Amino acid sequence: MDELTERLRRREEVLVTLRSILVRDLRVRLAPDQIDPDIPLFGSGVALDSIDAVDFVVAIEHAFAVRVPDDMMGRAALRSLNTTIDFIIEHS
Amino acid sequence: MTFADEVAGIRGSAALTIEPLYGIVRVTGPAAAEAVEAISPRALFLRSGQILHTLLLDDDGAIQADLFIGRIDREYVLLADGVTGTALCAVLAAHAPQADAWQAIDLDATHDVISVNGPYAWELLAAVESDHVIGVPYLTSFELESAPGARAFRSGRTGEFGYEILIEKPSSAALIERIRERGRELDLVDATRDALELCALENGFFVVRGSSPIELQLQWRVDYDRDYLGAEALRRRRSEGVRRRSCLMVGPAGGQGVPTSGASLLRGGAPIGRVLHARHSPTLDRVVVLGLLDLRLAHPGVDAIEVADDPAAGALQTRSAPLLHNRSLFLDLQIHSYASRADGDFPDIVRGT
Repeated sequence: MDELTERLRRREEVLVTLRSILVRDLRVRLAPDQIDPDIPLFGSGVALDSIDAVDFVVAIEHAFAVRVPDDMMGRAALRSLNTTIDFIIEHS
Repeated sequence: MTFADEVAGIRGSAALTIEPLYGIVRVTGPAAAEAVEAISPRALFLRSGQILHTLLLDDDGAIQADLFIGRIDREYVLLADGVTGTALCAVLAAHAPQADAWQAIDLDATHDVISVNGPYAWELLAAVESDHVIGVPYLTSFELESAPGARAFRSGRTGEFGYEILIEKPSSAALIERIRERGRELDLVDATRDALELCALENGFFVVRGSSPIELQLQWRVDYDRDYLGAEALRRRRSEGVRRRSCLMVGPAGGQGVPTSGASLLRGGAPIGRVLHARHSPTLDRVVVLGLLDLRLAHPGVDAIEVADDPAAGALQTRSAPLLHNRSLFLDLQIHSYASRADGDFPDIVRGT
C-alpha cells in the first residue's frame, strides 16, 4: 500500500468514527452519510451547540487519545469533520 | 477600490454590498407554510424570527438557488440567490398545493436587500441600530428600529458575520447613507457579488447551480424523508451511490492561472474529476479551485493534481474547508472591537500550508 493510499485509508477510518460519535453519542439528526466532511459543525451544518462541543471534545479525546486545546486553535480544529481529522492525525 | 481591497474588507473589517443578490418573495395566507414546504428541501420547523438555510431544487434534484427562508409571524420571506422573485413565484405556483389559500408576492421591484459582511459587521450594525444587534443569534431576523419596515437577516455565506437587510426601495438610500457614515470608523468598503462569491468559495460555501447537493456536500440542507420539489430524484441519486464529491483545492503560492469550469482534473495522467469553479484568492495569493473528485481521492492532502491542457494552473492540492481562519470565529463581541483589532492574539488568517 503506498503512502497516499494509507493516508486516505486512515482519514476514512477517522471519518467513520467521528460520524458515529455525532450520530450515536450526540444524537445528531442526520444519517452518517449525510454528515459531509467539509460542512460546518457549529452554527449551520451539523448545528452543534456549546454543550455538544464539550461532549464532542470528550468523545474525540477518548477515541483518539488526543488533547483538544481549549483555545482559539482548538476552536479552529473543530470547524468541520475534515479539520477535526487534520487535527487528530497531526496529534495522535 | 481593487478586488483585493473588497476581499480585504470582507475578511478584515466590514463590507457593504448593494447590488441585487437575491430574488425576493413573500408568501402569505392560511396555507403559506404548506406552500413553502412544497419547495423547501428542509422541513419548516421555524418559530417567528428564525431563518432556514436550504436550497431550491429542480425536478432532477439539481440546485437552482441558494435559499434562505425566514418566518415572520405567519408569513415567510424567501431570499433566493440564483433565481428572480418572478421565477420563484412561478416555481411556487407550479408545485405548491392549495393555490387559493396562499399568495406569493414578488418583492424584487419594491424592495432591496442590503448586505453587510465582515468580522466587524456586527459592530457596524450596532452603531447604525443599537447594541441589541450584538446578541442576535445566527439564522434569526430582527426589525430595524432605525428604519421602520426594514428587517435584517443574520445569515452570511463568507464565514464572517453577515446581515441581509430587506428594505423597501424608497427607504434604502437613507439606510445606505447611514451605514456608510457609521462605517467610516470601521474602514467600511464596498464589495461586489464577485468578492462575496470568492469568500464563499474559500469557506466551502460556494453553491454551484445545476449540481447535486449530494456531490456538493450540502446534504445537511435537504431531508430524505419528505416530499418536495426534487425529492424523488434526490432519493434516487442517493440510492445509486455517490461516486464523486466536491473538494477544495489550492494551486501553488503566487500562482495566477485560473482553470476554467468543466476542465478535467488528472492525477498521474488519469482522469479523477473536473473543475466546478475556480478563482484567484488575493488573501491566500493562490488559485482556489472547487472540484468534483472521485470519492476515493476526495479528501484533503492529495497533491499533484493537474488541470488537463492547462499547465498554467500548476499542481493542485486538496485542502480542508475552510481554507482560512475567519477572524469572526475568534471574536468575543463583549471584548473585541475594530478599534482594538490589533490587540487580540488571533491566529493568522492564512492557515498553515
